[in-house]
Amino acid sequence: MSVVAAKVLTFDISIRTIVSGHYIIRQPFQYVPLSSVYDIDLTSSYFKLFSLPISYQLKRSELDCRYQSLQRQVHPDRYAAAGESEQLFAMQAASQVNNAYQTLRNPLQRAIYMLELAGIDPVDHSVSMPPDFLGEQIELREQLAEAPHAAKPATELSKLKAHADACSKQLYDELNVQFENQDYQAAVITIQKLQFFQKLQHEADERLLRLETQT
Amino acid sequence: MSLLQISEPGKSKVPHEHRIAVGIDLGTTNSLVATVRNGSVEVLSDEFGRLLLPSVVRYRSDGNAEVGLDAKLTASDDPSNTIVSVKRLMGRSLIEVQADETRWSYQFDQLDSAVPRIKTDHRSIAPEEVSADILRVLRERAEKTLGGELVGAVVTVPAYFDDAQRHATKHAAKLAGLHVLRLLNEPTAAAVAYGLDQTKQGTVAVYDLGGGTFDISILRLEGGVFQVLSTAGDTVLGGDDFDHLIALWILEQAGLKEQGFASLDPSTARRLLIQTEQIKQTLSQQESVSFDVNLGDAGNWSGELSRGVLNELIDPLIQKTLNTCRHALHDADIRASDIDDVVMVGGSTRVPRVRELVAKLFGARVRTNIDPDQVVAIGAAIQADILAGNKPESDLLLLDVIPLSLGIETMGGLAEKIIPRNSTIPVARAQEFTTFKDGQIAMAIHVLQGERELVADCRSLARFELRGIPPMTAGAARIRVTFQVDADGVLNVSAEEKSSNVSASVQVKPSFGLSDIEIAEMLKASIQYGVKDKINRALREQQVEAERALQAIDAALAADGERLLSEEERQNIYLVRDELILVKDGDDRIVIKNTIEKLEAACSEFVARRMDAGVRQVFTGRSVKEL
Amino acid sequence: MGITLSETAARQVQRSMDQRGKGVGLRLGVRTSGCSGMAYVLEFADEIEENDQVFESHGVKVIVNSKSLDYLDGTELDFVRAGLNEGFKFNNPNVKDECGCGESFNV
Repeated sequence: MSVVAAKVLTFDISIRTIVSGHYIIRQPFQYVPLSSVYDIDLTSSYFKLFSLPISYQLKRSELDCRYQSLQRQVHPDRYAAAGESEQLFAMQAASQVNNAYQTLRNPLQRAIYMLELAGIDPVDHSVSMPPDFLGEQIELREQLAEAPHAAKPATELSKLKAHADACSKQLYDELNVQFENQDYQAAVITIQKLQFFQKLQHEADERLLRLETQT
Repeated sequence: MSLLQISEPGKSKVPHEHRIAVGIDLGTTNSLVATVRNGSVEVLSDEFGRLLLPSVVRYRSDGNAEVGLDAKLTASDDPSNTIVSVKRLMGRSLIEVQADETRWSYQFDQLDSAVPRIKTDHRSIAPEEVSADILRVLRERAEKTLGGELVGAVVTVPAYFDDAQRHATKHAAKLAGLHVLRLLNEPTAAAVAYGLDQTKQGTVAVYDLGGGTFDISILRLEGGVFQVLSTAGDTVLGGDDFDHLIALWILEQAGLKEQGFASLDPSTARRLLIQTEQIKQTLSQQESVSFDVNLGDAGNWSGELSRGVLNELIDPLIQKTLNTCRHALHDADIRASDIDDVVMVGGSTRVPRVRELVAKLFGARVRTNIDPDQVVAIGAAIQADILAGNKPESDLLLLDVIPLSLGIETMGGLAEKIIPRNSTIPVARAQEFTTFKDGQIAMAIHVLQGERELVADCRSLARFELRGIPPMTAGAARIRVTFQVDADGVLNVSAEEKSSNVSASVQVKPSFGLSDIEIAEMLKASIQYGVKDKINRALREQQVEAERALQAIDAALAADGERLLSEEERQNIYLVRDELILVKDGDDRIVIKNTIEKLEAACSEFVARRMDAGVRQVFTGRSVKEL
Repeated sequence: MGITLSETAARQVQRSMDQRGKGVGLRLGVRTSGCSGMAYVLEFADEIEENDQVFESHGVKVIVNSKSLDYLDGTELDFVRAGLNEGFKFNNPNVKDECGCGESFNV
């Protein structure tokens, strides 16, 4: 008699869901120089895969452009007529490119990934959050819970969302500086703060959508 | 004889190597097949010039299947043997099917098989087989029209189709003898048909309102790459519901509101719905329509319906689709005003009110200039042409997403998502799990699909077990579960305990799919049909060949017969020629082939003399100019 | 003699070229291949090369490499329907025999 899977309870769930995307596929086949799909090194970092310097600042247009050309090179549709091993490799390479793109284009996931590359645990729980920040979060969550009962719930929710957006923007600016100075300990705290706001934004969004589609 | 087509510069094909590929829109109500010829897309018609093949199959008591319009027209005489809307059954369990709001006109068998079996007078039939019969007709239509075997087909599926439904569609294609190059999401196909891949960049909403389903997709395109940002849909909402609402309105006007629709006898009800469909179509052209309907025992009722009243009737349904659109926008993380183009798909988008409200929501112009019934097949054909390798220089790349999240069951009956919905495919994700009890040596991996938190609300795709975990205290083992989804959206799951390297994996065969044995049996049956198909095609090819030979010899005789042949030689040729005319319409292809060879032998001297004469002429002409 | 198009062929070529949106004309040629020696080439042409000869037929430019012309001189390109199938057909007076499908030939 076996039991279904148990969740690994070492860190906060919301954080774990975010970091679960990182997965390096081992290169299963020998290097075959004749075929372009094998030119992709699946063991290299996401930045190297996209021919980008390891830097928190990143031009979105450059990332998108590299993503498209990489997918053109490795997407299984390009190998619809090729051999089985090429098709399999193409699928794995395209998966890796997709994962890398998802990680790099999201500023929060990109930050977590960069900490991992630097050998820092992005979810270090020994780091304690400033009490005034936690107090503010509790207050914001109360506002969120009350918003649907307000006279103008949509306005309340939009206001809350705008506040979270503004705070996040400021935190991302801080993160930028922290990475530039390689101040990773400060970055860990900023990332955790951002996750609080992300959750808030997400829930405000969901409630707004529910309001919109009720009518 | 195969006739030549114009190729792109330097891309002429090696003789005898055809790469004919088609796009197939396998619809709930109608199906179509299209292909790219001479660089332009063509929707292929049957011998009567009809493009739409009604997705209706009638199984006669002798086992023969009748597909298309004939089956549709006789549906009311033989409802229990006539299968309509089979697409709604694909990849679904009997329980789901019976819970569906659709009122099935046919019965289901209670068999051991996980898939519902439709009870007909002849035998029990699986939905995959019904779809295969539709696909087979389209395949034959394409092969007849294009004069050769197909290298493959792109078959479209609704974006919301889950793993099981995609599997079922692939099985059906396999049964029909089709090689599936790719399952393509219908909205993506529609955007391709409009050539939106040619535009530099933009965000497109594809609004697809068919007879019985609704589908919205948000696509992003940039430099020839199509990316599906999000999809959402409603499997039980469509134009048929509009017809139904008109019917209910008529009953209300006729004072039959209490009795309702169910009080009508089946044939009256069907006739009424056909009429209300016509009323709806007329109101797309004009402001109001007068009509006279037969309500069975309640007699006739005549009246008038204006477009304004129709709009009021259907507005709630359209609003429902717009709400789904809002969900899709939310998932794509964009606003309605970010949409640059709206592509309309499905016959129901001809309704002016639909166009009006959709345009209003997105604040964008809606594209309607390609026939909304054909647009999906056209896009599929373009993609098929590329995948078959006929357009190696093409820039078009389609990046699709999975429509529903994939995950596994964790303790407490909870669903843990491993790949979130709307992830671009192919995609691989891994997550670590652990043991729950001290000394636990095996773990059940229950693979799920769906957005809900509780296992009971998600669809179960597969179960397998990882055994041989070394005994440890609870929570110490590290089991890495990896999900890999390929470009067709088909899932592979593996699990590995890291300290001991024990592993197990499964290619997910959906719980509601056909078993391997069932597939093998159906394949056997289809191969029997396949042999018959092949023999028929070979015969037809010989007949065409005979006609070609006859035309050639007649033309040659008319031109040079008198000049180059004696009376006796001519008579000899005519004798064999007449023999070929006699045998060519028979059904023995060997006899036809032998007679063609006989004719060629009889003509060989004549052909040689013509050639000589021709060459002399060429050189004569040249000597004058050149010497 | 040169190369000509039948009227239906010319119309069809013109339509295909319009849909394609570019190109200077239609290239005809032969190359060695196939079951009985030679195969026809039928392509859109984007440029005229050095050894090309250009003919005009019903308003369509027909471009032929001079080497290929030896095998094609006098050819009329026709567009025919055979049952549900349709396509282009080379009526080539230089041809001695064709293989069954009409794609390759001997001279």
